[in-house]
Amino acid sequence: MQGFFAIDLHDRGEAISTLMNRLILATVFLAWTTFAQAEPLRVASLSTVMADLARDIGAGRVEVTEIVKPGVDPHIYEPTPGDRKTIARSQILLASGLGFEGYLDKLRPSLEKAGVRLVVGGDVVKPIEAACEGHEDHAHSHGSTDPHWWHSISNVQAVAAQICEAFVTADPAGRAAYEANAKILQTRLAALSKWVRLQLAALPKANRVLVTSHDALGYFAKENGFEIFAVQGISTSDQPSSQKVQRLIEEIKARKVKAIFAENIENPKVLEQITNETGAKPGGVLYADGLGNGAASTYDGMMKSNVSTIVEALK
Amino acid sequence: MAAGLALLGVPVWILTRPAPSAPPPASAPIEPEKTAIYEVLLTASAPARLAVRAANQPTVESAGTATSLTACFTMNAAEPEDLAVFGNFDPAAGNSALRVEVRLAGRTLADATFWGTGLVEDVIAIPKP
Repeated sequence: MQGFFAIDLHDRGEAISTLMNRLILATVFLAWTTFAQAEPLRVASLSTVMADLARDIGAGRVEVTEIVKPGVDPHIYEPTPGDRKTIARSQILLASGLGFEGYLDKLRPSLEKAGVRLVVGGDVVKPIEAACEGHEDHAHSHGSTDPHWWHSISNVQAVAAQICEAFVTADPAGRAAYEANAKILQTRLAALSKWVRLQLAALPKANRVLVTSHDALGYFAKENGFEIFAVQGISTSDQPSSQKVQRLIEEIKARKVKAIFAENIENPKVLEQITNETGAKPGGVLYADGLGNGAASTYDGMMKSNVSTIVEALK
Repeated sequence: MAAGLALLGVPVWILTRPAPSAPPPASAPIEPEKTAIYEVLLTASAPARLAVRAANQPTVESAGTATSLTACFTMNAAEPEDLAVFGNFDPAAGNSALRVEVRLAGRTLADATFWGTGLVEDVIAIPKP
């Protein structure tokens, strides 16, 4: 009887030992797979709007680094050596394109060398021509295409699909998560589009004139039936001639424009001068070149802030 | 009469002066010959609170729940405003439809149906002539 127990205990000890070994192996395997899944897809972004879309689509599987941050003027930004290192360490680089990042062509060879996939939003949108009035006195860095495509929600929907596809290609294991997140985002963008239409329906068509610092809201204007008068050209680095400012003042007076809008990263001095001379009131601040801070730190927030500001000032 | 009021200390000119005219509207007034009357017909798949709104004009609403609502808007014939339409259905009704027809002199200019549960709202654009 004692022997029986001794053998039984011995067998039990062996079984426990085997079980422990298996448990340790399982724990190690689980830890390894967890670590492998936890290693996020590294994404760098030159666009604050695309960074926001990437965060929504990537959620926990993607680490997004904003190279150009909200509130920075992207027209005059140049990547620092530190930015170049961050970009080289990433797997995907997001850029607006259509000439918005003047330095992008210079970056391309180093991206290829580092194996960084470049995703350019401008490649999948329907570009519009930039209004180049006032550029007769100098050359400027943009082509004739307006690069501010994110002011059209349908363009943003196309770019969201493009980002989702890039993530799936780079990380096929995350396909289900990326596609589910992208679907939620597309639904939200459709709701935002309807919200914009409902808000603008309260604004008489005769009042749909936007006077802004620089010509960045062309896509918004085209989609929603606005006319645009911009002090500067398509870039914030374009400076208006005094003749152009005078013509603009006459136009604003003749059209009885109610309000003039500043931008979050502009020097509003010229606009202040025009406001004083025309009697039009300052309409508030618009986010033209990307996201802002606070409520405007998301794409939804930025669009809602811009539309509310415009409707409130012009109705 | 005037003498009596004067005796009561009421300055006659206050009572006899012409009423001040209303301030001009913010938007330029539309010349009468350039306006047209647009008839809007809302039809709901189930009883709902219905409403339709055009810029610078009062909202037209159903008195309570209804399955149809007719409204007329006088607008610039060259550039009519967009219409915001609303149908507030009982969510228990499930997927509901709100049909909007816009007519000018008996001719249908726009016809659209919007779907949803609970509040169905959207904007319908009237094509330019």
